[in-house]
Amino acid sequence: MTTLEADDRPAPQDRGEEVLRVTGLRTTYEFRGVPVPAVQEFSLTVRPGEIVGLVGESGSGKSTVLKSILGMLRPPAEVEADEIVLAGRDLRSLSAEEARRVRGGEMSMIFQDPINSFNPSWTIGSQFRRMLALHRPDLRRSEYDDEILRLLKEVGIDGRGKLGSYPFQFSQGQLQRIMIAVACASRDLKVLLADEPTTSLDVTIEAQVLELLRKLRAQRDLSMVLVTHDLSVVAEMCDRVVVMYAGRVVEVADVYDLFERPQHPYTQQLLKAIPGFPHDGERLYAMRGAVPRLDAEIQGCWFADRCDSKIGDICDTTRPELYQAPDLGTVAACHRVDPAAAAAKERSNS
Amino acid sequence: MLKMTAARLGSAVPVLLLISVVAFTLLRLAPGDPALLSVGMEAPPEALAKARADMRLDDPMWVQYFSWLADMVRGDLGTSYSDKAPVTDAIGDRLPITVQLAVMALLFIGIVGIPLGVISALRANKLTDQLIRIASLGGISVPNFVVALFLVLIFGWWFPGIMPYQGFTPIGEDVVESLRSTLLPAVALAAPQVGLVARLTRSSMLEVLSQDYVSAARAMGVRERVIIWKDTLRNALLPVITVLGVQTGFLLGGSVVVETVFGIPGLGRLLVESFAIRDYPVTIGVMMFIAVVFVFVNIVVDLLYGVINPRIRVGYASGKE
Repeated sequence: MTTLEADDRPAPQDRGEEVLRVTGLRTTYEFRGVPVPAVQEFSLTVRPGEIVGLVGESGSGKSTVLKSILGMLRPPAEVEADEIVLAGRDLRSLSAEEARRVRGGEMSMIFQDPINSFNPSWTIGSQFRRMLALHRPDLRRSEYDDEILRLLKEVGIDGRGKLGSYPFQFSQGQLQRIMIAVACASRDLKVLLADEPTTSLDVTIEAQVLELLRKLRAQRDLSMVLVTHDLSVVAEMCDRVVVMYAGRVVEVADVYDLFERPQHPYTQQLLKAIPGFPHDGERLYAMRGAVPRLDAEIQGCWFADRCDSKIGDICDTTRPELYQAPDLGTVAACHRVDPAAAAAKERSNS
Repeated sequence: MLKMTAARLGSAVPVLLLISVVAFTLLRLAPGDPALLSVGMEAPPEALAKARADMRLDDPMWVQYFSWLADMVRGDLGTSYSDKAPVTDAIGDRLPITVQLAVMALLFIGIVGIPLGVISALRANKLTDQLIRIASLGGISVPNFVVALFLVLIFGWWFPGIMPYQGFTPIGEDVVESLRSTLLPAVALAAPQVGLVARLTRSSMLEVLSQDYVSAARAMGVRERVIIWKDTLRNALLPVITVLGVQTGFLLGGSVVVETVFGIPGLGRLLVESFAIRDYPVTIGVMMFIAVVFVFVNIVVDLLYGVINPRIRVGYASGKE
């Protein structure tokens, strides 16, 4: 494993190194005493300055992935992984205290619903100050408020006279900006995990917040993992996309390839389900069926039930691995992408 | 905050008036004649008539009510039929005892109930949690007079001499002995409430722990201990405080049953004793006193709520509720 210290990373060609690498992630929740796997065989790499989208339906495990990576889950939830490496350090080898310092220090998270991300009975200023107290040892207490105002200004909020206000006195859009400012307060921040950061905002505010995230990425060379179920956000923001289905990765692709040449039938059907605008009067495409229960015993492909392009029995009997798509950087968990299976199908047809 | 206080106080007036009408009417409608009880069954009719006139029982009921109300507003609750002493003195004598008992019971409820609830929530669905929940349910289900009788049985019959189980030592005489004399009654009073508060704290804690802002604090790298005690508990205690407030009202009203079982001469006993001899001024005086305490404690709880929850305090000031 290569160590990736901030000092020995100036060479631009080395920027291909990843800042975050997760492999073999498996997260299990307990439901009525029975363990239920919410995420399985999940892997993810994020390069410096890259925005990786994590898309999938509700319940596909996107948020769980973020919480698992950040080490936020508590028993009875269980997180296992082959590695969770942030800037050369495997987070699983850290003590609880060291892991705590990583949270909010090198890796932060922003949430879907800004009003609920703040403690309703504390002022914005006091919640911001505690972040500085945790992750900005370079500051003295007397300097906190100036720094808060500066950080708020960076996200486009004039915080003067507002630090004594309570969360409910701000709008959703303002709160999300403040949350971003809080999350980015640490100087060591490398990766920002964003859990549907714009889902609860209206579209004009959404555009502003996305713009803000892009600006931060450029200014501070931040990497981001952006969870969303909105493919237009993906198109606008992401460099690379991980598509999840039922707690597993089904496709990883560059954003351009994802939209132009989606490999996995799930991705294809997702794209097909986007309503056109202006709408031409056709019936909207809706994927049939529903996501299988996470505790279901499924032999073959998890998507087989809803797939429009099954190639045969193999889909019901054999679990597809992530296969490299020919001529593309894409990997997809579909037998159609596997050259061997495709060839077999070719033979049986002829 | 001032405006809020004034509004709450204002709303208490009609409530108390209504209580006074109902209490006064019901008391007079209850069978029994204080004049007869005071002069005795064998007394000549003229003595009875004189006693009636002295007690002003011959006036129409509404006249009695308004003259009593007029006196009460001026702070005069009348004089007892039995010992001709002012009712306010009788209440004044008994109140400190009830307050001592109530404070002790409240401390028990808070000190035992809240931590039990917190532990239960943090160990949710584990063995500790199950045990606490069963014990709480037991506490809630057993009426406090049963607890009281059992305590008397344990400390009065099985293991006598460890704890005083009858009577009351005034705090002026011997502080330690006085506190000891109200310990068992306080436990009996607190037992059901401890269970209730533990359960309430547990469910409230679990609800708050699942809130996004707790996740957000965790994502910031806040220490788990701080998250539990500072972020979670403060918000989780809001509903608990409401219940404790209502309980305080009840406790300050004196517990008739527990005071009787342990022979504690508190307000509850005064109420029962006075009613037994139809000492109307004392009975209605104590009832109104309890009502006033109850209403005011609830107002204080409302205001406390505002102190803890800025949405209420600031929202009220800026005109939105």
